[in-house]
Amino acid sequence: MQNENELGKLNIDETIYETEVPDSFNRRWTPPDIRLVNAFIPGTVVEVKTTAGTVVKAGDVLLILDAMKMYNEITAPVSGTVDVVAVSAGERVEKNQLLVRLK
Amino acid sequence: MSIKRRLTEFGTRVQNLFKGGGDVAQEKQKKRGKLTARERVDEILDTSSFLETDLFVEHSSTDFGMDRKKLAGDGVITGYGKIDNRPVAIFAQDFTVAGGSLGKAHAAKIVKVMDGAGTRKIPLIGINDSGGARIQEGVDSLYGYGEIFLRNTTFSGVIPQLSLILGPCAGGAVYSPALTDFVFVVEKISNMFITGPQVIKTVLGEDVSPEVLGGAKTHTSVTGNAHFYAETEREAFQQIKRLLSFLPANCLEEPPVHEPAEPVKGISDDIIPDNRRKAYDVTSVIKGIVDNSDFMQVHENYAKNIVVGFARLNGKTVGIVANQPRYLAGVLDVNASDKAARFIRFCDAFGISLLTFVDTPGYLPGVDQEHAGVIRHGAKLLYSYSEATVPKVTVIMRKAYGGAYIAMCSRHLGASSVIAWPTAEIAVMGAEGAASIVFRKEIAASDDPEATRQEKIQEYEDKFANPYVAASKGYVDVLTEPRKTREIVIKAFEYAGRQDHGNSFRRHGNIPL
Repeated sequence: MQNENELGKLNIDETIYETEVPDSFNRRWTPPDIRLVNAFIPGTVVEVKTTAGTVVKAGDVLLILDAMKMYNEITAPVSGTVDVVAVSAGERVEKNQLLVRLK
Repeated sequence: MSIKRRLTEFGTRVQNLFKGGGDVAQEKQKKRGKLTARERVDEILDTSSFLETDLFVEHSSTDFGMDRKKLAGDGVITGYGKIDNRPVAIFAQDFTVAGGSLGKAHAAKIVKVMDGAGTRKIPLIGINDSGGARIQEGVDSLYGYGEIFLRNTTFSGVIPQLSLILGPCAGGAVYSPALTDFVFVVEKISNMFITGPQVIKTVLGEDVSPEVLGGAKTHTSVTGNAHFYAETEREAFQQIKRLLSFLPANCLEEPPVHEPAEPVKGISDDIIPDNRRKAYDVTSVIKGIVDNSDFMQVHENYAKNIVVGFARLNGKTVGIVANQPRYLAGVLDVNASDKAARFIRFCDAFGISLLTFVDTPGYLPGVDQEHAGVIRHGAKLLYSYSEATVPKVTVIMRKAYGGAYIAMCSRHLGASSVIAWPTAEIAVMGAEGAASIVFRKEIAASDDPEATRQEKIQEYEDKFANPYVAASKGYVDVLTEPRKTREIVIKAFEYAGRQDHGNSFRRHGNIPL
């Protein structure tokens, strides 16, 4: 058994238990921001089809992302105005990297 | 040709085949800290018990210059032998021969020994050490994997199938071990992944080492793909022998019976802390009850909030499932449910009685858990306990709240006997949460809400935080002091038979996956 001082606290139905709590449990969930269009997969931006200030409808193609041997159309999740285009053609992006921000 | 010459020729052929991929390749294998395939087979099996089959099998591939290549045993050693004097079937891929790659003949040898294990109804041990499909043989290697997967599945629940990962095991090859009952991995030697680091780097640009992606620690603690972790190959061999000592050779045979033995140290009545919010290590309870205090954990480092493993009670194998208050208070969550459900189904398939220890506050709250499908995964635990026809004895030590109480092999899911300690709290939820709901109005209307709340918590606790309400309704069969648990549990198993759900006409149920 490990030391008492390694034990954290865990609240289940208002009862506080002294127990080992892994770091991963303390990651807090945050609601997704629908204005942010992030890369759902790592890849390379092939073509940017929009610019800041453009008014877009939900479903409009914002850019093309080459990933898993496919040209993936990245579309606007909601209607709005393009606030920032954070990437340019030829750029390699990580998973979850910001591509476009709407407002 | 004279007999003498024939025998000499035979001797030379055998000698050459025994060299596998040749001295250089064998040296390279050893430099990686690995034993050779032949050494592995010899070390796992009882001395001189190995009967090798298909040593002389050759491939018949002709493309890409393969017609000029002789591959010893086509890269895999197969046959039969004994472990602790009990027969097993075994195959060991030989990485020194064309990287242990799987072609048609290689697969056919494995398939043949698998069929042999199936008809003889003896355990199958597979040693995986292979670069993957033999690309030169094209779709024939895919045929090979498919035939192996089919047999892994048809023999599932018929004979125990054990997989040792002693080298690379990548791509489609991983699915044979994944279909077997228990997977053993060794530090710095085992690697398992669908797509390796190189592909991930090329396709996705992500840098990850083979160890982090699919090494022994990763698979025993993060993914749960492997059940047993060892520092060395020899340690893994010992684990295999120990595990087999608990298991029957097949689903028709009873598990082996050993000489009954008392635990090294029994449990006292104060084995668990007074304060129900305090943690303790549930393995100390288990070891205080089972024969010789000998408890072999399965998935020891994965989903540590539940403990599962094999032990003996009065000489007979039992499968143990226990909440672990030491880790995350022993909550049920996605991984714990999967871990326990798979173990319970293994035990049920092989006629191994189930002993359950309960001390859980409930299900783990959180968006992560809900989004990970805790409903679907939690259902597996309910399903597997309900489905199990082996004798099921449950010991409620402390908290047994709400849905988690039902899930942990309650009377309602068909437990043969439910035993509770006087410290048991069988209730719909903990006193704090219940009081807040039941007495919400009183607490809100109070001049001193916190004082009223504490008062009501106490009231609820006095009334419900005990085993007597459940016992008064017959939901608990036997109440006992902790120190007498071993004796009572042994009796309970003695009088419990296999259950019959009366549904043998059905093909199979549809467990939520």
